[in-house]
Amino acid sequence: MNSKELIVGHFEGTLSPADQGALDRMLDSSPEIRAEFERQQMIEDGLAEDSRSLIPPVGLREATLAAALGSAVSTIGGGISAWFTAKVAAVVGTVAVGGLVVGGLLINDGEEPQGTSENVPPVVQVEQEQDEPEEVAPVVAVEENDRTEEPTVATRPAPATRIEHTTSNGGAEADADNDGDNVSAASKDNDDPERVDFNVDGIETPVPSEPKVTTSEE
Amino acid sequence: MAEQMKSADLSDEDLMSRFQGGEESAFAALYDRYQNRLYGYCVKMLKDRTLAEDIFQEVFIRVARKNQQFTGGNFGGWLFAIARNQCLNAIRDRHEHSSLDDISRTLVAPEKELYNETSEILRGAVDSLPEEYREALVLRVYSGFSYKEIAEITGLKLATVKVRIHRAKLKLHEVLEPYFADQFGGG
Repeated sequence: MNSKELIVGHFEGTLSPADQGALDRMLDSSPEIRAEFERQQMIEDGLAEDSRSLIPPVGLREATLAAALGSAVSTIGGGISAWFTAKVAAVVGTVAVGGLVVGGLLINDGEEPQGTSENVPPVVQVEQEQDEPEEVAPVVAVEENDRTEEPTVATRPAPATRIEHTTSNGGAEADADNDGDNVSAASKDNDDPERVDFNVDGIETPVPSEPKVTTSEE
Repeated sequence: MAEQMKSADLSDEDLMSRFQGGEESAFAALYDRYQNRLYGYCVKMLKDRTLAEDIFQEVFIRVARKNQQFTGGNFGGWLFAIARNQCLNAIRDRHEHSSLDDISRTLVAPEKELYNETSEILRGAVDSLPEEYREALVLRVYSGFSYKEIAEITGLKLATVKVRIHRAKLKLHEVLEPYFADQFGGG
């Protein structure tokens, strides 16, 4: 190792005791190497200062949290929150309408309960309209126009549309939308992060089933 | 206040687990914990603050939206792996390629007068590093990751990470030497 490598190693904390000793001796004996060391110290200080100066602008926090949490509403809690909200709305609606009916009966106590039978069906109808979780949360369809995203098919399960991404040296794999969400250190040996190629061969194309034609035999 | 103190005691993974359970304040705590490191990474990788802010925001949106895909492990590594892919996609979209020649083109004579402060010179030098060196350096210095964590985020071997960081610093030293010589009369 030359003096520059030793100096960088010193600031990175990667020198062996022997190399550190060698550097110390060089620093004691050579003004030039001491000057190099001081320059590297300035670089290290400058990098640290630059790092501290990079702070997100005011307002970005609120905007980001609002956008992020807004987008997460349909997925938090295993994707049931939208269904749960619809269910709660249905129950609340049922209770409210039921309360009105009971209240009406009490007010009209002793009188002929007019219209009572007409109030019941809407209660059932409200519940039926809102109690359809299948149509509430097509989470997959929310995806934006990210070219590396999996194709948006709301009714298909995610594994069927998985796209495999490979880097140019074939070492790394990312998940279907190239987030790195499923990054595994063991599966990655990419020495060239500059180039990322995407292999879309993994897309399973849905094969339309032939329509069944039934003919009545006489 | 009590909630903030409580979340400060929790690990990233515990916070993420709480967020997965619907606790939005846990996500805000994770944001606060990582915002500076992630912002620095995006700015230094993309060399464009406006684009960096977009990507920064997009990363957190993805983390929130795909929270169920986090099934344990190192949250910071997962977060930065997402950020890395977003940045690389943005860079590729911009058709930007750095090379060693760019360093000299950026810093030699004509622009020299523009860099009247050491910090400005240093920023220019970092920005001009080849992307693979810059990324390793940024993850180390600006985002504060260990070699092992950088290897996990980038998918590189540990030895490769060390070499890239060393080379990045050597390159900075080499590029900045003429300026130090001018400024301090040494070298």
